[in-house]
Amino acid sequence: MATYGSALTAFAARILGDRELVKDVRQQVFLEAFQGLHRFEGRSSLWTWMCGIAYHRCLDELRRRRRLETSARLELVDVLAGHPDTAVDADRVAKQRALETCLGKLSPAMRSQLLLRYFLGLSYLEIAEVTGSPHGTVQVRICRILPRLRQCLRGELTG
Amino acid sequence: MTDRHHRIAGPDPEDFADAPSRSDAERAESAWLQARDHDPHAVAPAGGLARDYAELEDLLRDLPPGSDDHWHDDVLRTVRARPPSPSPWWRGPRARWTWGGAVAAAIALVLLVRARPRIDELDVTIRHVDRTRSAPEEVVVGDQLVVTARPTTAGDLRVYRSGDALVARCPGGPRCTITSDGEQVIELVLDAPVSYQVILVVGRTEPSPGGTLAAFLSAARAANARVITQVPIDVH
Repeated sequence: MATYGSALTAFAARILGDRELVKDVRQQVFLEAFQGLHRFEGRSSLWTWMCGIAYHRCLDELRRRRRLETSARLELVDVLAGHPDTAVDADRVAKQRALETCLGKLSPAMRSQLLLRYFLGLSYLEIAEVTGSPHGTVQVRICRILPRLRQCLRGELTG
Repeated sequence: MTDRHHRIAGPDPEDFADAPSRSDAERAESAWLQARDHDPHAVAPAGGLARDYAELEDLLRDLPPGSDDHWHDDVLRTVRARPPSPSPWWRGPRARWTWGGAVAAAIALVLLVRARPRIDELDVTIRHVDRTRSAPEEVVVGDQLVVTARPTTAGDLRVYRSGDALVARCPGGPRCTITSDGEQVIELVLDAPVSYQVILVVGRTEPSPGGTLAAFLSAARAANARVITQVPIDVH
């Protein structure tokens, strides 16, 4: 379970954009997973199940703090800055930072689906299971957002 | 999945994902992306798009993780990785000012640290025994768990095995040591290939129940106590 911690923490950081909230959510996720492990039904993978808990706890936290409309977009990059590997390739770091900025322009709900797909590696079916949205809707929305994200990234890097 | 699913809130009207498509080219791109999910050889509507998306998706997959748990290690690593200066800086003409600034900064740091309120802390360390393991960080049966808690007020430190079995607690348990600084320390051998969970509850003063983790947590929450924990430890 420890191997999941880093990815889920980074996921929560990108959704919440607030270091303290991330710590709270991470704690909730692992407690809930630990306590609920015996209730895990095996219909999905353990990883999908954990992602689902993280996703819902993040959204719960956003609702609780009434931040859905005003997600801390500008904080996002700061929360995730400072990883030691980022010193290796300046070009890659610049692209990652630009991408973080573009991700920050998405609503938390949309950003979370995109991160579930790519950063956490879930399939459309698994995302549909986690979010409760129809599989086709998930796919269409992600395929609609990618061109915007590509344009935004290009704009950030050239502008 | 859990029975606690919720539908997420509807689309944010300001989200650029939900704005109508701005051009035919963008619609074509989106349609191609959908087609590509079914047929990896689907032809992109414009040259270079496949490469652009390969890079974008690679960046999305490879976003850096956060570093909040290891910030001090990161700082040390970064400092050590910096190339040495061409000449010793302390021999320069501004050395006096630099030293003065450093001393002032150190004093300010000490004052700042002392002024900050104490926080509850929980450290978990695994002492590895000499056994075969598939990865260096893997925890195996026989490793020793050392938990150190520094609660700001009354703290109840516990270790549970598989969610149900209370295997150690501090204060009040045989594996508990309390230092003169008020640190609570539990040391125990991880003797089964299951998950272990470390929990520190701060602020409860009434006697705690000795039962399951769930009962303990619900009692702590009912008493409005602070619950601190870490990632469960999977023992192989």
